[in-house]
Amino acid sequence: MIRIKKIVFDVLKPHRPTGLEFASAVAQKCPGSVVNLNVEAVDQNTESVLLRIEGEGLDFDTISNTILELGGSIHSVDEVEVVHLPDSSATG
Amino acid sequence: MFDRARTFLGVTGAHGILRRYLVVNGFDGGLTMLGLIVGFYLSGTTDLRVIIGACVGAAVALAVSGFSSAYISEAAEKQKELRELEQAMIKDMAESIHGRASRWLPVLVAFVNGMSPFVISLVIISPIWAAYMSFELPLPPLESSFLVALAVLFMLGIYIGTVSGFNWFWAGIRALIIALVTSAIIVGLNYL
Repeated sequence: MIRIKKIVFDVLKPHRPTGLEFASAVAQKCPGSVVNLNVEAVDQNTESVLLRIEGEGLDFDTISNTILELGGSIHSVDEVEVVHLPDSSATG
Repeated sequence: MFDRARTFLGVTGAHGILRRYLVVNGFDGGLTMLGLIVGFYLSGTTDLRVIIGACVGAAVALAVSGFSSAYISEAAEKQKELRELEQAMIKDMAESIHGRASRWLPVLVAFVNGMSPFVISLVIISPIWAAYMSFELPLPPLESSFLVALAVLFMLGIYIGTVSGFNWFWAGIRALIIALVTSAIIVGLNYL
């Protein structure tokens, strides 16, 4: 089974919600995760941020939908880390 | 429900708008009732049914006016803000939290703007209503309502002072002076 352990998004977002609110909203959808948000550039109405999420078994669709719902736009996925866990049925 | 309201207010930064509408139209309602009460007192009207009818009619008109004017202006303002944000983000944001806030907030703002004068008006005329329902009051009904109106306007002043960081007591006194000046103008006009 393939599990996502880390994923880094390049996101364009409005100033509101703030970085703290944005990262908290993403973390709320990914229990047990660590979310890190770095502001890369600030414009009049928007800001570019690098959103790094680390955890066990992250769900890509949940995270991307949350980003879109918060008004963000995913420019790229800059980094991913996945792990291949052997199926429990095969090991048992 | 409240979480959603808090989120939308956070996204749009509309706390200040809500506060402004609450105070501005609440003050409108308070002064309108004060004017009606002073007018009825000077005209010597004693029929409480007539007084209640006129005051409730004015309160309903203030509520409907407050609701419709705030909804129309806020809906237009929020749509404009959303369009500007969509241009900056280069995408449709109708389904984002911003799009939902732009549809939901005008209703909330309109509700606050409509209800604040209505509720304040009902509070101010409550002694008249109590007298009409044969409750015993320490003062005649119009005088009681006049004092309640002054108290409510003083409280609104205190609220403004608390929000602005201004001395709350002087903010209350300032509101009270406005109320007394309004009453004095009405009394003065009565002698023309």
